[in-house]
Amino acid sequence: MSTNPLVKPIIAENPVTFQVLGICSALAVTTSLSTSLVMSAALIFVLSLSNVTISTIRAHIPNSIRLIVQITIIASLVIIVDLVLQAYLFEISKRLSVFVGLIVTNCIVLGRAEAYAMKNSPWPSLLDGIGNAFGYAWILLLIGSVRELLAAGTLMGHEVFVLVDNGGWFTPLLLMALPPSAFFLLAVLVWIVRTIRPEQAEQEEQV
Amino acid sequence: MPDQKRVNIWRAFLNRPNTDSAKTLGVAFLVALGCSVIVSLTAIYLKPLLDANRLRESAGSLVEIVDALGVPVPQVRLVERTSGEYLSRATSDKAALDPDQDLAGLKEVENTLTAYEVRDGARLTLVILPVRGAGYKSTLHGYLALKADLNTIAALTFYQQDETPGMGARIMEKKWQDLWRDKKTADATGAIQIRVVTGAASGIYEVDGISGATRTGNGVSNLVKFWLGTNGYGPYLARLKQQGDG
Amino acid sequence: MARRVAIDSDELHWCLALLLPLAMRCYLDGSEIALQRLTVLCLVLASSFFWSALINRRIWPSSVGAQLHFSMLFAILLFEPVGWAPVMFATSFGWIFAHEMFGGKPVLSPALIALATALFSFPDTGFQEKWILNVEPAFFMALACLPGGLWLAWRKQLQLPVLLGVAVGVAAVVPLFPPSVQWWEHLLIGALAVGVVFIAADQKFVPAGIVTQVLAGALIGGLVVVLRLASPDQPDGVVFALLLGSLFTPLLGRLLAWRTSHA
Repeated sequence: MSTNPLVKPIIAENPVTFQVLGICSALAVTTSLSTSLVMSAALIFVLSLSNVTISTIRAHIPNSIRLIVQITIIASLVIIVDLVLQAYLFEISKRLSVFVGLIVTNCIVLGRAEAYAMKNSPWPSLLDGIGNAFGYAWILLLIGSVRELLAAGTLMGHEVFVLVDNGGWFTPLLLMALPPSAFFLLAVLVWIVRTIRPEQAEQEEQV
Repeated sequence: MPDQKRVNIWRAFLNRPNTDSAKTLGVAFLVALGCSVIVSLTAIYLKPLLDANRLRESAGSLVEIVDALGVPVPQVRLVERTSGEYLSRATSDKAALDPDQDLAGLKEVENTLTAYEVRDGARLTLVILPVRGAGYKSTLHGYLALKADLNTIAALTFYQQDETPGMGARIMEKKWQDLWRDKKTADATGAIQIRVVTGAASGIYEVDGISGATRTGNGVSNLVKFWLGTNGYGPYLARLKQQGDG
Repeated sequence: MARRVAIDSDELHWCLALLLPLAMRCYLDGSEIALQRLTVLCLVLASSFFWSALINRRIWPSSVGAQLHFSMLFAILLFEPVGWAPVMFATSFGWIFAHEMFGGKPVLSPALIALATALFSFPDTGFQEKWILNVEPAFFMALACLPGGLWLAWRKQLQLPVLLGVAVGVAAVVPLFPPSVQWWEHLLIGALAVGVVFIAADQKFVPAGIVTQVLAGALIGGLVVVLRLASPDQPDGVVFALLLGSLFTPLLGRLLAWRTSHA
């Protein structure tokens, strides 16, 4: 198994399917591919920069205010992303609403800062940040594509399945437009990953 | 050498142990300072774009409706809600609504309303009314445009809502909003009849509902009914009609 | 070198018991709709076999029977046949999610999940439960469940306290609403009888213990009445009530087991 910090979080230690982190936003923003894409880009930006910044000053962060310093840096990056989205991608930022702001509380970001950036030098931290962000991103994009395709028959707004309303064969699944469907798809995805890699499954619960 | 000395102070600061309280305060201060400078610079740099977006957001829907109908710029009117008379100055007071009158789920409503009139010379051709009301899980904001007879809908648009995507949120789709065009609002007795029905509509007072969005549809029916009724723009519309403006 | 295909005898009893309700449903439909309903059954059968084969990576699944049980139940509870695409989506999801993902030991009825998926995905099609509007056919359907139910009860496939619980739940909740139909009429109209006998009382999904089973039944019975009388989106309410009931029964079982062990 790869120990490269860039490759490991893609599947082997994927933050969403293996560590089951950051799923709140994965559920909320995956109604369409475009929002998933923007959310992924935002997370890649925040996670890689926060990892590098925290790793650079890690030797001088007093233990007593460690979390405050980390959160301050992460929150600043998130505000910047939010402002940039509102300025240049206003329509999408309206649909993402609070969820870009909530990257601050995304467990993946703080988790990587604590678990990796505080202990490693900037270059591996950057790779770790990018790797984890991509691990999150491909799942978001997959769920976003499936949901948009099945709920509206479109991808990025382009018609893929022709709807019955427009004389085609496809009846949209309204369930896929509702938040619970992201849970179901995530469950199916975790099941597939764990069927292929049985070592990821948790131990049987002792009752 | 002052430069050398400054570097030495910086070095000395960094070399202090992390448990030292002076260093703790210093790091906290420096991190806060650095972050706030970066955030402020971004905000200042992007401010013109942000302001422009927000302005377009509030004006966009009205501009859209006016553009789509191809009419000249409307005149803004302030209207006293209860009497329907024009006002020269807006008041900010609100009146509470009885639950049985509160069709749109607003709880209270302003006493001064805004309406937009489009005139061709002196003849009234279009009235645009800002409307809002409770949908299934959010407040719907939009504009209702009435033709000169004040009984025919020229357009209904929504610009803000937070309904279920793919279901209630489809009230934002042009295809659905177009269904409202040329529907009649009230029957011969003046009672408001227009409503969203479940499934396919029949007749001039009915609009097709959206699959799976019965409650959003009811919300739209109710808010239209409320704003055209006596607690909304009813007195104002009645006055315009009486003047033979229509 | 043909691999042996085991036929699950329990599932076979289920299929036998479902024959009469299916026949009755087709008879009530009239020949044209009945033919469509049987087509739906074949489609569902094909899709469940396809997913079994794909997921277990063998042409013939290790045991046959659950697929037929699933298809028959789905075809019976479908209000009226609809297009093939919605049927395939709903049943594929139901089968994978409720049957395959739990390694062939489901905790929820696959047919119920498929029906619920269909109901919430396609609200304006034939999936919407309009059973409630046809009182007389529903009564015949309830009657047709009787022999199958008795047969399954004799084969120890049904937990009868659940049936008692449903009656208790319905009888307890009906007086809370303005008078409409009698409480025992609620048991006979709509899809309640079919749903309760063939889904809610299935011993595979109900925890042990008579008290738990009665409570689980009462929850479902009460919910059906509440949904029928209070929710305009759920004219029959059986599928939604069964879904909520089935989700809570394992919790109910745990809770009661915990209480007894700590008493």
